[in-house]
Amino acid sequence: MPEPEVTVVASDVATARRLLGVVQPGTPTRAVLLGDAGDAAGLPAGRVVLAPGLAGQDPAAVGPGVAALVAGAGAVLLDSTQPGRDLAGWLSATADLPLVWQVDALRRTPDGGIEVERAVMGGSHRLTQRVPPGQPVIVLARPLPVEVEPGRPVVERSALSSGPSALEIVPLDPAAGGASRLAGARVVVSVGRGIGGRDQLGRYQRLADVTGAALGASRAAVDSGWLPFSHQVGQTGATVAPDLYLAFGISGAVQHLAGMRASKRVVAVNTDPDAPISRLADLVIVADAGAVADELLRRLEEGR
Amino acid sequence: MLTILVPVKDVSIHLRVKEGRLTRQGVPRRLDSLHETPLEWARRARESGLAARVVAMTLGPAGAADALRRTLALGADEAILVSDHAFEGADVRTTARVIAAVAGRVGAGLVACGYESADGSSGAVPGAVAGSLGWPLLSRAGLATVDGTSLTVTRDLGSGPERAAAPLPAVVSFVEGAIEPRVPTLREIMAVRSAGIVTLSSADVGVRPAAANAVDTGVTAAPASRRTPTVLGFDDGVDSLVALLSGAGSDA
Repeated sequence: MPEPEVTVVASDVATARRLLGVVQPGTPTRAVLLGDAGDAAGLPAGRVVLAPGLAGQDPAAVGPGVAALVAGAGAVLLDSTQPGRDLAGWLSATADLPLVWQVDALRRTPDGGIEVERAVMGGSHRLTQRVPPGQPVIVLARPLPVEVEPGRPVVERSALSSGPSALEIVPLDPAAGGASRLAGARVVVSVGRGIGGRDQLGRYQRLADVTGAALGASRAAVDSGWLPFSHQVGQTGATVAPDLYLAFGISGAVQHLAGMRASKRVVAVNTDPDAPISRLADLVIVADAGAVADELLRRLEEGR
Repeated sequence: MLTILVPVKDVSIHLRVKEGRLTRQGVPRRLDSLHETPLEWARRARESGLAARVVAMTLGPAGAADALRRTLALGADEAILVSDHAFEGADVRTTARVIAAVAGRVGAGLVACGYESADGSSGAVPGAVAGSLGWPLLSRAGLATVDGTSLTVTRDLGSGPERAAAPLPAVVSFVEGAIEPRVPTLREIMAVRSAGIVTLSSADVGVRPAAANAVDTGVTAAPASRRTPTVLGFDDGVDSLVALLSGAGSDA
């Protein structure tokens, strides 16, 4: 009998590709795509299961179908977004499976068990965890940016659909939706609580527009309601790896650093040169964030 | 009338490595401030007559009683400590089952959690509690209102703000920000210094730890990633940044 596949579960092809990048090459893999996930051709998995009827963010509605599809998998990988965490927790409890999190590398051990790794202690150390052979595990993954060779998966379709949801959901601001441009951005202009307030956002949005950057934010700024959650960079939000990460008024909580550690160049604009973000920065500008942004805008717009 | 159960965590301020293992031993601990948000929301619900009782609980060592006393100062009516050597290193499933069992024991109609905990947690416990109880889950609530039969929250799961409602009983998880936790007065802190904490064992709650678990097999220092930054003031800083941005732009 072949060893059970490592199965990634995602609601879009890009996420599935990133999740597959966590798995050691050569491991048999399968991708389960929920809802309207996009074109699966070229996904670097052995098999793809399209489940267009399994959509939505209520774990109680989508969970039973997902559980049926992943039964028999050696490991089930989900991304660390809130819907991913909700579904992972739900599956762990209802299918009675162990759960590991923040995993950026997964491999089979020679005895058929599964070994995972993650960064701990703010990235200064790495923790290795092992699950015994034959024991399936739920994995909340935090993919690092890697290039993965395209594959030629065998594509199947599942007719399973979501069950009824007890939740009633009303979008409040349809204009605020839409995918954030953070994933794949080459330049990210990111703001934290140090910018002073929501009324200060305009100059950073404009700076992002002028430089072709995506606008990011710390958890503190998002939790304060200054920007929608889709802008959040960090352990709970998006993981980014741009060529240039520009942090305005961000002190650099561990939660934030987890999401931007892989950036090629980091510039921190902060009044406190000893803020934790300086440890990851190539350039620290000790100055008022708003004044720097305004001067940058003036110079960049003048040069056009 | 509604009883709200608020699971909290007594967290260590950081982790350390001892003999090649991650440990929380010997590190100062405190009530996770993330969990003060659901507690404050529950207190307000009780103050405005929408709930009858707020019960705080934690799963942890005997020392977690201090964190629970703080929940009493912050407005919980009762505090329950589930503590048993069998639960050392309890995983997400076990933690969720203990919370579910206590919810049943106190007759909770709502479990109000923090959306994760500050000590590098999975953030998957609220979903696991919902799965254990078979109750609907409303995650990442900023604000929430409860009436006799349902809970309505405003939240953002990444695709924009939305209003989501679920019938009770339900599980809700809160993010920080919209609800400002209160700071207990010295008098409140003094008043709970000798408050009794109900302590329950594995047998009392009827939950046994899950057998098959992931085990830590090693901790290694990561390759040094520390950069030595150039530190500049306003004028030189802006000059460098303009150069960087022009460079990054022309590569695109």
